Amino acid sequence: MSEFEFRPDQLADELVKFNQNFSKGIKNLLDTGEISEGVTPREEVYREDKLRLYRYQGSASIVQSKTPTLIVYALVNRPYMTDIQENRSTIKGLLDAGQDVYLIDWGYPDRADRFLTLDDYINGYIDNCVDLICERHGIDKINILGICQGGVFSLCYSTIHQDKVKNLITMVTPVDCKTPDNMLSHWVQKMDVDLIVDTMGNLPGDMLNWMFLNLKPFQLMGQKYVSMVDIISDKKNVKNFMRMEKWIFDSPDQAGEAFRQFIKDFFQQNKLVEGGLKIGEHEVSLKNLSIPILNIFAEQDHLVPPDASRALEKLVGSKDYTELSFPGGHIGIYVSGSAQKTIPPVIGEWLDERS
Amino acid sequence: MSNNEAWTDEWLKAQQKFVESWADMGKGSEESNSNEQSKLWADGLEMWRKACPHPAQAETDQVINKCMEVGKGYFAMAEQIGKQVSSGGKPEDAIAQWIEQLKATLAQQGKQWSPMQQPNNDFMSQWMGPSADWQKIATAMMPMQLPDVGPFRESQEKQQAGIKLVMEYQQANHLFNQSLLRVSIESLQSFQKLLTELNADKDSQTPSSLRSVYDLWVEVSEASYADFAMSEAYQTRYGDMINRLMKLKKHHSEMLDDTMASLNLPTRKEIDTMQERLQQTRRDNRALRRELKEIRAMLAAKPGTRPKKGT
Repeated sequence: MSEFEFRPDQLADELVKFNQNFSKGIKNLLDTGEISEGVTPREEVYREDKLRLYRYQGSASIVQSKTPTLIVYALVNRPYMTDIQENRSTIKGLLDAGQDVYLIDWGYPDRADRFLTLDDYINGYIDNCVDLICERHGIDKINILGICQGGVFSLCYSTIHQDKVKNLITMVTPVDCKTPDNMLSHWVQKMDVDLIVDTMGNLPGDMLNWMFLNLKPFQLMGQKYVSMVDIISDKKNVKNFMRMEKWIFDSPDQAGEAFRQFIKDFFQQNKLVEGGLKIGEHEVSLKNLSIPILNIFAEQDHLVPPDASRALEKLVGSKDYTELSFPGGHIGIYVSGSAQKTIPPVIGEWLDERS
Repeated sequence: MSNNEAWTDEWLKAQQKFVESWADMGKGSEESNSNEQSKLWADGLEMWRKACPHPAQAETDQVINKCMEVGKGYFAMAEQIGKQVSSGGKPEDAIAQWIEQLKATLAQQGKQWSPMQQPNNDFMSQWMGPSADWQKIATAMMPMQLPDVGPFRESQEKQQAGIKLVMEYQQANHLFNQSLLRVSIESLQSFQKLLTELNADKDSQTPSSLRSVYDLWVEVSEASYADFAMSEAYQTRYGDMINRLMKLKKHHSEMLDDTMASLNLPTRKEIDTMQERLQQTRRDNRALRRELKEIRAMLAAKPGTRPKKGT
């Protein structure tokens, strides 16, 4: 029979070391300074209301693709996750892979944005950005890369405006929101979304944050800070940790009407799967989507379970459908070292084959 | 002495006392006072925290506060287990006793639970983290007090309706918290069972450090929580809690609007109506601009047609 093997002096030693690392680390935390939002140089090329459209600047020595790629990020988080630090930047990876990268930054909605609908976001803002990019480059179509909820928007946009989209990439995108392992979807089924929006107007970012953290409360609100003590005696690690912390808690408020429709139509009624989805006047049926699609998802994604993304294959009409699964989580797919080596080059290659 | 040096000095004093205390525990010294030890780390940390400068960045301050909160719980676990081991007990027995103490504390609290109460145990407060954070959000949503004299006095009927909604929300919140508390006790039983199984299986790896005990506890708690979070009961209670808070807030918002109207000030409802109409007007404008663009393109494409200057 095995026995637990630790002694009092061993316990004391362990805690003293923990304490020492903690105190050294706190000093490093206090010296952290300001945390930047993104590292790759970029230029603002368009603005509309709170939206900013950025074009990223790659190395002059790399020949860029003639078809630019527009990144459409989710509304629920800030897009600088894709460019969080020098050696953890999906955007830099795409630039290095020869892609000409644009990104929509949705900004921080306030009460003036209360009545923005999904139609406004998809057929308004996104469409205006696509038109602008096409005009700048003298082309008819661009590539779109949609991330998470941004992937849902991109699917809807591409279905409605297929004449403007050459290739579509979706990353960690929830298509089937009623897979048995979808905790987030499970929680919202009995929420009266109409009451919430009619009462609150916009949904506070804090409330969304609370929901995301409660998917894994012990790890995300407890263990993470204990484990942090192992790394914070190194100033570089502290800075990297703080970048993630800043992003995690930087959740914008959600425009009321867009939130209403998103939760009701996608999470509660699963209309991408069940049918009946309309964005403004446009009906959206994924079987009409026939452009090339690259669908990337994360195997250990607790926010968007892989099956929620995999469902896309059977729903689209495209004959050129490719899947890429990554052995990591919802955030790891952007920030892990192995993701940086895999994902952007694969995307670059896939796009170049279809340019 | 600069501020940095001052707080470092305080912190080093606290550390020294801490190490001496742990050394006493390790020797099983009769002089060591378990009451002093149980609060030593927490007190030392509080003292240091007050002495050290607050960082310029709010997010850094928040992280430091979180580290301290979680750290207190971690040390509470360490001290309780360490006490047993230092007085000659086997580690597995020390951990089992610690678990029993936690269960007893939680069971006692379950009988006296109130919506604003947190477990009286730093370690198990992690189980009520979801509830504690929800309380902060819900409190932030609560409206300020409305004047209750003269023309602003609420009707009796509205007051009674408001009180009923408050009670309904508190009940829903209480049920949610009680569920978390029940599952937290069950998770401790699962943790205890796992440790017994590991101890009994000669091929398995038993925890060899406090950290590994903590990490195992996190794993078991997360699994217990996930099972509960995917249940029908959680879905119902969670939804109910949020919906009832929204009803309460809606009621207060309507009363606030009544007050604003009586003061001849714009109400939320009026502003919402204006914003909705404005957004629709912007959509109509967008549609018209697109149509105009298409018409111009059609005209430009027509042979012999030349658009006017400035169009």
